[in-house]
Amino acid sequence: MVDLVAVGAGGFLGATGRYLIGRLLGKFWKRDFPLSTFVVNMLGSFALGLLMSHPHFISTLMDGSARIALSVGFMGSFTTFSTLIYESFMLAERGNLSLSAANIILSIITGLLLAWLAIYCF
Amino acid sequence: MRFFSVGVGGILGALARYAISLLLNDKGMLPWGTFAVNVGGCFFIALFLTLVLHKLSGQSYFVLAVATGFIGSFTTFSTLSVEGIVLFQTSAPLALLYLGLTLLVGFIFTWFGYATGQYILTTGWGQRWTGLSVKGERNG
Repeated sequence: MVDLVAVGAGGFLGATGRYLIGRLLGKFWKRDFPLSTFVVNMLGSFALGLLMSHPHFISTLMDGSARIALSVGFMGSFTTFSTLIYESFMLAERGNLSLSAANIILSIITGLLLAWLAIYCF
Repeated sequence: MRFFSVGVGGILGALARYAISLLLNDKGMLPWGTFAVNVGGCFFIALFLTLVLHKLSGQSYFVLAVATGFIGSFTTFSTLSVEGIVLFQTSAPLALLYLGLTLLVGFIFTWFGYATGQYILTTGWGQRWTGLSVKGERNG
């Protein structure tokens, strides 16, 4: 039950955080590349990598429910897969195949790289 | 109020993802729970946005709650990245299979959701349905 509240609270903050970054970046980013989805996904991949790779350090700072709130709740909701693929699909649908492919390839490679850096180098 | 719509959708999306992950993630070689929410979410976001975006703004409370909040939180990219790296430790081919399968099926499901939405919109039933949903949004 405590875990459900933790995931829900993290989900609330993660989703609103993602929306906030979208609103802020949308004010000055007017190009076709979906920058805000890319930014939240990269930040989240790195941060979740840190959370997963330092269990001992983190368990001294917070209990299991707090970890679940941050990882499953916040990071899981802050980042999004459906929007990434939908935005790429719509770029392709409007004829911009190269940007569509670039968005997916750049996201997956950079996301893996950041998760790897977080897990092995920090 | 817009933040609240996104947040409430986010609570439900995160809880639904958590439930499916607990059910499926330890049931095989690959994290099938994450796979299921990600590709399922691709279908639903494409279907939903295709049905509503020609009538409603992407910033309306209803679209923010369902698409940005619920489906956005239901699917996850950070878990995909970390699971990909963890799988590389055991088997590189397995990691590549997981990532490739998620991307490929996700893209196909997005196309399928989009095509289903377009098909519904061309039928009379679909036009009545979207007409009703628009009226409900304006009244609410």
